[in-house]
Amino acid sequence: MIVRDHLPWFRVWPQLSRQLVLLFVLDTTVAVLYVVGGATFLAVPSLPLGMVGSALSIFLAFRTSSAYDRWWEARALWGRLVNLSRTLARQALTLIPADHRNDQTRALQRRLVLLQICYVHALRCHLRQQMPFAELRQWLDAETIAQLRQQANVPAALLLMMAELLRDAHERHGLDPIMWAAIDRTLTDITDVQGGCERIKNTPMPKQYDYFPRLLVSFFCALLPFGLVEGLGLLTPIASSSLSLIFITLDRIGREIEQPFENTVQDTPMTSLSRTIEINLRQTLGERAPRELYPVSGFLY
Amino acid sequence: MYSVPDLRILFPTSFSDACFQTGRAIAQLADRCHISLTIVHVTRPGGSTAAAYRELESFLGEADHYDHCRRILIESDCAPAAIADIASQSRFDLVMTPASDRLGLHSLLAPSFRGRLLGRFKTPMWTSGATVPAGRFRHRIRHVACLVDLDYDPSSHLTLASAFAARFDARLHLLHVVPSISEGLLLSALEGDRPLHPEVARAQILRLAPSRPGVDLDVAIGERAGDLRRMLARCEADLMFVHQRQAARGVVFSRFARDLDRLPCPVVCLSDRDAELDRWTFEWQQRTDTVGVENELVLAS
Repeated sequence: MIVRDHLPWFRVWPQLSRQLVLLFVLDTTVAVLYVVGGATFLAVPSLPLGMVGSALSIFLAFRTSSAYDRWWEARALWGRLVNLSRTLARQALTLIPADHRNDQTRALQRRLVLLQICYVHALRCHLRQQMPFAELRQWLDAETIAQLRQQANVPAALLLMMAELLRDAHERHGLDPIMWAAIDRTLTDITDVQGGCERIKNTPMPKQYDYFPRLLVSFFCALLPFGLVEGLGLLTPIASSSLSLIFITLDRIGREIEQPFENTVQDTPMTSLSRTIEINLRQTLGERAPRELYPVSGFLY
Repeated sequence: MYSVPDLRILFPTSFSDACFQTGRAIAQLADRCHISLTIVHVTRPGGSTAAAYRELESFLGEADHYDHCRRILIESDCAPAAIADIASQSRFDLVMTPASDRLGLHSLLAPSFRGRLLGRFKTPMWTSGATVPAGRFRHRIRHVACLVDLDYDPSSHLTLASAFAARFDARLHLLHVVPSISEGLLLSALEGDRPLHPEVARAQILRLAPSRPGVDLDVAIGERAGDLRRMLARCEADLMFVHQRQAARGVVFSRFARDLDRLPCPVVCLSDRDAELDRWTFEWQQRTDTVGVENELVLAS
């Protein structure tokens, strides 16, 4: 997630450069042919071009809005996961009856909270297509890791482990069925959050939303110098390239934020959010928490 | 609880997007090995050290969960020299240097950061371009390819690649491209004694190949850049080993070959010099479990 006020040019330029340079060459060629070469037939009326530009702007704005909806939903889902994780930790520590003479109950409470920490890290890795086991090794034993390796969906498997732990708490440690149901409801809500994230991850924007704006922007930018050259002459490349920059940037913004789980600067800051959850939960357990994560070069990951 | 590290990784970072995405590859390596990760950031003298310190702490937050993670901030005007200095002080098995987006003109006139590091290091260098699909890092390393060049003695590189594949329980694929017949081929044949017939090349490589199960050989005729991509796709390589001479090109500006950045898998470039690393750490390191977590932040100058 970008948290800085402005983007450095060296980060933006590589993504726009190829298209802009090509368009600038075209603009210059058209301007020179028209002014120096006398190829007046190159000029087309600018009025229809203006109308096409307006229609394209509306199309691009609509698409960017759709992409933003996906990005915001992803952020909202992770915000909900932060709250649900805190709720689960609170429920684990207060609803499961703690017997101070019995270390097993406290160990069970702690394991439940640690599994939730594992879960958020595993979900982050799952969404970013990253292997989670090196991170989970510090909380889980080799046998549990080996079990998880067999699973295609590691976070879902961790949720199942938590549910089994709750059943164990009911059968062996006297967890009240009503309390059990309450904690299980939290687990169900967490499952829903994961499902929402997976839906965004696995369902791309309709390809028409991706293909046609790109095609239309390229077509419009290529037509621009022909519409401007009659009025602007040799200044056409400057005006045309500037207008092209606006349309290309609008197109790129929509395309870049439509996938919020791709390990890019536009991502939902899952590393930071999962660290926040870890800090909260480990402090709830009375353990030493890791340090908070801050933006790096204005980007929060 | 962590084990004594059996793969030592040096990761110089500029906090670029490519550096963040390298986190996936490190997680993949850490899945099988107990890695010791040293993250280095070089900042210019006179800048805000506190801010750089905080950014370095927050960079790749998940690395704090690995067995050993050390972060070093260096104040220096010459980043490659400072990093080479760090590399000379300790033993490293891999240096992570992903390809970054560079401004067009700059990439033509100046050697890349990787190219400059390559000239100073004897340590194997890991690199990856933007064309590597994210899904490549979602699973463990299952196929390791090694590009064999018969212009020099490849036995030491084959040994390293084979040991790496064995440690990761991966299949080793030896790849060789015999140039297609042309007039220019006669000239190059005079300069070297590499075989020009696939069967001869195959026999020569088989003599050098490590004698262990799980080794495949693929010899193609054609252009290296194009055929290599096809061969890598055929063997589903997750990682490829190349010789330094195959990775660097250009006499005046020692640049990293762009072809390598367009491959569908990351590449490990093995040094041309007197092999300082003749064995990986995991080949001689006894794996012993120790209690504790080692994470530290160091300011060097």
